[in-house]
Amino acid sequence: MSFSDILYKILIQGGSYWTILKGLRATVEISCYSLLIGTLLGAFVCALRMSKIKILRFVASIYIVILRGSPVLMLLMLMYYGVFARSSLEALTIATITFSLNVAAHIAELLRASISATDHGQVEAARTLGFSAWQAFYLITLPQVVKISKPVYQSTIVNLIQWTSVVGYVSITDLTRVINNIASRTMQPMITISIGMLIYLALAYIVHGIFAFTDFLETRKEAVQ
Amino acid sequence: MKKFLCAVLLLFVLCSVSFAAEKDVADLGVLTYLGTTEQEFQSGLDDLRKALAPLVPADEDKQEWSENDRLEEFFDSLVKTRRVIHFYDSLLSMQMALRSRKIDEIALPEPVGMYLVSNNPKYDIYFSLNMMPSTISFGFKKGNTALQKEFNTAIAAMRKDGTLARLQKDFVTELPTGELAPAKFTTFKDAKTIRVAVTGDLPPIDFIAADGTPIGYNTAILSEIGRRIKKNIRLVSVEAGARSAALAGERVDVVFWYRNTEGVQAPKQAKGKNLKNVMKDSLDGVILSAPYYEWDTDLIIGLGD
Repeated sequence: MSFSDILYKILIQGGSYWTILKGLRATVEISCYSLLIGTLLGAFVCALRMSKIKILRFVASIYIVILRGSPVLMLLMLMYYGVFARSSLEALTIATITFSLNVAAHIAELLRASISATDHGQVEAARTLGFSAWQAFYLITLPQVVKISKPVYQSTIVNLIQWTSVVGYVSITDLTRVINNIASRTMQPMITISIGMLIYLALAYIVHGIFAFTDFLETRKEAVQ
Repeated sequence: MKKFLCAVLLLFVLCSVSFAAEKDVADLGVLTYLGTTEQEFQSGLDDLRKALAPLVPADEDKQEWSENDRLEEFFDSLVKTRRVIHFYDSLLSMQMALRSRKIDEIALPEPVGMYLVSNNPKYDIYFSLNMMPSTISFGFKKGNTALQKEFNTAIAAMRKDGTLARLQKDFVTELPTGELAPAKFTTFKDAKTIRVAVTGDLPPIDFIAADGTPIGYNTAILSEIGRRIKKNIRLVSVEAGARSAALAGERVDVVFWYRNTEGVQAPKQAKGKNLKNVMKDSLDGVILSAPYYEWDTDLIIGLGD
């Protein structure tokens, strides 16, 4: 069997490409929803973690320690086969909840580190000039936090996309599961998995491209100003 | 410096000697048996090998000694070369290990091995172990005897009227070539839906078509059982390693396959040492149906020249 025959069998025969696209869609869906919810939840956890109330700080710390320290597959299995075992929630929803919880812990720490890296004196100066606490945060701290956290946030997104590859354990047919199924059916694991890797790599480069584009827009805006 | 060089040389010589001493060792990949550990499996295999080792004849005596070909092959394969067992959760990871030469051989049920070899010319059958009669059964959560009974009745009826043999012939024995059509499931209004976990990782018994639908023997037999017990069947695709978690968490009612090795034999000279004691695929919380597929031989497969 020639290489092109093998590629045809893996990618085209029987509408294989369509199944790969459906798997890709599941991966992207879980990643996007988890990122959105995880970022909001992460900001909330970060606020708790930096709160002046000791008990809230403690609760946030415990959350971060547990979620960051446990393998996401274990968490996913626990949620799907344990916590939500008797619920009618779809597997995709449970996976999104799990990845949101996990990524929120990472983002909370990322935001805390970024806020700590800003100069608190600037906020104090703004308050002296009559800014409210919210205005000082929104106009002074937040733009700097966004800038500082951007590179790590980008790699968190790429990590999140890669972490979703375990959802096959909870009956979701994502990109990895589709690739595995094709490899089992065609008995060509090396080539099939290489193709799967290239697709994940493309996803990572799309994320990279989006961030590079926003950097470009920012640079242009600054140049105009 | 001289002392250091001598130490390095000594270390090199020792490594070479130990490597030479271990030349009759082969790393063998096996699909994970959920009810046993790699160590237990290894020690069971080593015990059997130890019991049989004194009986291995010199090559020149073999002609007269050998009771039959089966015994000779069994001795030759398992006793002369020690197998170091490596468990793999999926056929895919096992193939990857073989291709990267992390292991030397893989052991597969005959139909799966034949499918592998016929679909990829890079693989060769090294030899067959034909004292390994095994069966595959459905798994149910312990206590779900009502469903187990229904499945058993359907399987018995299918065996009696020849349906089981026909499905085995159509979907497994005569290896499917080209695309198979997915089986049609009868829908029963107001009837209960049984969720069945399939893995897609045991072709041609359990595999997934190019369009993502489960296909082959798994769908054919489940469609027939659904029709006979008058219940709807919904297929749920899960990773092979998550079969028992899916059952325990009641995410599925039935798991498509568990290997049952009760029938595995050993030569009488093995004095009771038998691999069936360590080849346990089911767990305590799982009960099995009557078998719906049987085979006699496991194939040991490796990379061809």
